Amino acid sequence: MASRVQFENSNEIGCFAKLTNTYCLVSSGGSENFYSVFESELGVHIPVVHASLAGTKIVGRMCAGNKNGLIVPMSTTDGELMAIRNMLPESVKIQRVEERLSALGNVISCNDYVALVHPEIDKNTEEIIADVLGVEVYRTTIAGNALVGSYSVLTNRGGLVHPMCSVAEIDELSTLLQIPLCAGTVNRGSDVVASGLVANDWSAFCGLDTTATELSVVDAVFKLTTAGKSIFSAEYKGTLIDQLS
Amino acid sequence: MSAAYNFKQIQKIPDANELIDITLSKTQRKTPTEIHANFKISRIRKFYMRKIKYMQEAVNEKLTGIVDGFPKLNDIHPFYADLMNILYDKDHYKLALGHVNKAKSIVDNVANDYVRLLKYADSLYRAKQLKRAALGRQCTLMKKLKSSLSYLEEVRKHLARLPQIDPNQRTLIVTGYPNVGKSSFMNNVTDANVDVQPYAFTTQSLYVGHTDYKYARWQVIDTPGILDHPLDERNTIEMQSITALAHLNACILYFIDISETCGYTIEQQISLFKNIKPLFQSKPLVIVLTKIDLVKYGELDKQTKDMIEKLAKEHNAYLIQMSNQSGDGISDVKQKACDILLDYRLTQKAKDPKKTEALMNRLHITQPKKRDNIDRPAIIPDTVKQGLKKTGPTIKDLQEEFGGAGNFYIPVEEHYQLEDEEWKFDRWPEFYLGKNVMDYYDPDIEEKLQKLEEEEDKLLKMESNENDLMEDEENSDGITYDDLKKALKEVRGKKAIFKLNHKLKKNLRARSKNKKLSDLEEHLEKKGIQVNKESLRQRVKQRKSIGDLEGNQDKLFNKALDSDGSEDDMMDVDDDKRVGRKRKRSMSMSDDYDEVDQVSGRGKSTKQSSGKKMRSLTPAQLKITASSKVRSMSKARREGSVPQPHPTRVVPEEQIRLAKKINKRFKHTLNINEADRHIPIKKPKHLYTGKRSNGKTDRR
Repeated sequence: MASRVQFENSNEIGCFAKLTNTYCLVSSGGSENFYSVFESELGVHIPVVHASLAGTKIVGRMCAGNKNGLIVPMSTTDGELMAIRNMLPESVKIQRVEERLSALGNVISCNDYVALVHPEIDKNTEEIIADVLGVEVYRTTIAGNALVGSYSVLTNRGGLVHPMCSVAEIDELSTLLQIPLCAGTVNRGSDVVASGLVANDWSAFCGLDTTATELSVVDAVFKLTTAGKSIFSAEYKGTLIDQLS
Repeated sequence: MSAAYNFKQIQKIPDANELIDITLSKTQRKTPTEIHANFKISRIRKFYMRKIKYMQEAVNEKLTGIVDGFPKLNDIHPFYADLMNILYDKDHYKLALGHVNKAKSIVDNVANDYVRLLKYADSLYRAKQLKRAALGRQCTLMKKLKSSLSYLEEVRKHLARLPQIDPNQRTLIVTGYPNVGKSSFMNNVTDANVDVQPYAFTTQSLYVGHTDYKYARWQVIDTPGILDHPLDERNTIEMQSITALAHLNACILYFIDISETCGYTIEQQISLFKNIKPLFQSKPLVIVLTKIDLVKYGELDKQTKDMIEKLAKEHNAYLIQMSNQSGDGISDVKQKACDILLDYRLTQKAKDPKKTEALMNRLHITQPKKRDNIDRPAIIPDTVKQGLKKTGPTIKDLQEEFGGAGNFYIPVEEHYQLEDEEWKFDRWPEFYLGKNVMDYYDPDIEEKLQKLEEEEDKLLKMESNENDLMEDEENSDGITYDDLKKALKEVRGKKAIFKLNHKLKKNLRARSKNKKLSDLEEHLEKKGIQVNKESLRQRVKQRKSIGDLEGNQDKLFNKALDSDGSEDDMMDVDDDKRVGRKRKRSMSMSDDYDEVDQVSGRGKSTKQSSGKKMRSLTPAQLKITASSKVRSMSKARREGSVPQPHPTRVVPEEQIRLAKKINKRFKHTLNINEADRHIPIKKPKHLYTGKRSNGKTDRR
């Protein structure tokens, strides 16, 4: 079951946190409320750490990563890089890349096996992504948007993409990624799904504005509920349609 | 959504007197207040015009705010429009708003009229009277709004207390005769807490509660009970129910009390149903038979049962039994009602194919087609599978405990996972000797360091080995290594002494320029060189007399004085020169004074007196005074000035030396001196502190 969180009165929690299967980066705010939501949920399983990138709090948008590695932009300072290196497990590779599109979280969307990247990303960066994250890399757009990282959230069990994505496009992406996909929104209709949602294979966190329907779609698509039927089952489909239209 | 119908946001309406106070005081505060009769008349007119216009704007703004704050009956959902009509009387409401709106335009007109009139005011007094009249008339207009404003304030208060019903949401409406258990059902199903009493018309207005079903929120509206009489005879309380039934696209739950304890027979209740039926034609409908704990449905006589069943059949309604007391059937009612409402809504929405098409991508999860045989399992740690939960306080708890956000935080280093726990808080500079430490970081640094150390060890070992070998060895010439070393040391020591000596000499060279002849002779003798002392002396004398400035001066001096004393001096080269000079000058000085004394005839040795007397001197005397003049001038020379060497004048050596010294000093150090412009304090405090009146900028 996904949790609803807020970072300093902002629902765009995907900007302030990066969640993978082996670590979780959380930006440090004035109070520890945000951090502790992650800590209580994930603390025993993976390291949940405070981080900043390039002196900013928007760690989620600045970096891209999965269980194998983490890619940070060139603007990351040496101190930050060292801190992150010290905090994450030895198995996670960390690499700084010289990329014009420096908000890597917006241009790279990945799970542990496949990555979708912005069509105009540098060739070297593409190679680094493949090496560091250990993934197949595909250049693509999502619903006509080049910022694939902003408009999709992927895990190894499923993915949520921009609500204007056509059925054919979702099918194509699904085959590429080899995971079930669904179009959806977060934060009461926001189409920037990656900024309102962070997820890994066993947990997910949404912005506080996320409605019950959106939350249940997230649960269903990321397979977070073990018991009970998903909202996509025939029984609940009526409510889903009624709420979406 | 519900935010569109949030009537709580309407601002408080001030009553007429308050409004007058507000606008008048605002005008007073925000316009200039000082005017004098001797001002230009145009200025006086402008002053009062401004007041009138400002008042008009203030009133306009206030009244516009009031009119705009209230919902327009034509724009809002018909349910709310009707409800407001019932509660506040549409005509009255519109009239009140219209009244306020009209007042607004009249105030504008009044203000314009008086502004126009003010153009003809020819004195301060007349202008003021016009202004008074204008403001007064504006205030009178506002006073006339009194009843409208108080009515609108009442409406506002009531509107704010209306339940927030969203007309477009999934809604269940509970209706029926008074006292049939509508409010009890509401309490059972939703989170609302409605007052339930065993008498009729406990519920006097609409109430809203919410319930969850199938991942969605459903609003349930509890309506006041209605009686069976024609529409035009219904009272306000009943009319609210009728409005809700008529305008909300909802599922209707018609409650029939089969125990008849509410005071109405089943026939009466059925006839009411038929009466209000036109209000919910084609809407999903559930007929709820309540109070089955008192009378079982089966226990009713056949006629009644038939009547009820026929009713349900005719109107395509579902028949469900329920008891609020025992709780039987409550959830059945809720589920059934929700399901049929959902079906109803979906069929209505399905009529728009474009909408459904756009939704298709969000309605199902696409399953991937296999493109290769790679297995891509989910990565879930064992701890998650075991269902491990965090125990102990979180950082937030710690923060709360130790003074809250801002006082307590966890350092980033706390998260470090290092080989040695003690390394966590090691301090190290980011920059060292102007270099970024990180630039020199190398993942293999440990390895490389070890290699370097090994190499160094090796080199050290080799060197010591070599030394050992060499000590034992003997050269081909029969010289041992030790001897060689000793010799080298000696050579080096001597070299160092030479160097030191040379350095010392370098410093002394300037002073030892005038070596004594005797020293030279001594030195030569020591070296075993035979010298002709006479010729040596001769050479020294020669060198002294030519080219040398001092020598020249000496000559001139001698000439001037015509004395033989200098000859002696010249011969006595071995003597200390400075001593000789000194003696000479002191002699001449005393001569000088004597001579001056002689010339003046009195004891006054002033320049003036000597100058005056000069004309009457004999040539011999003149000659003497010439020399005295040299002396006296030299004496009067100002410290620090450079004397101009005159070809016929003798300048003492000491002076030249001094002059040179002074010259030298000036040449080398261009220091700031009193000739330079200098401002001791750029901003003297006394000029910048305190008040100042006109013309006190540079002195106070």
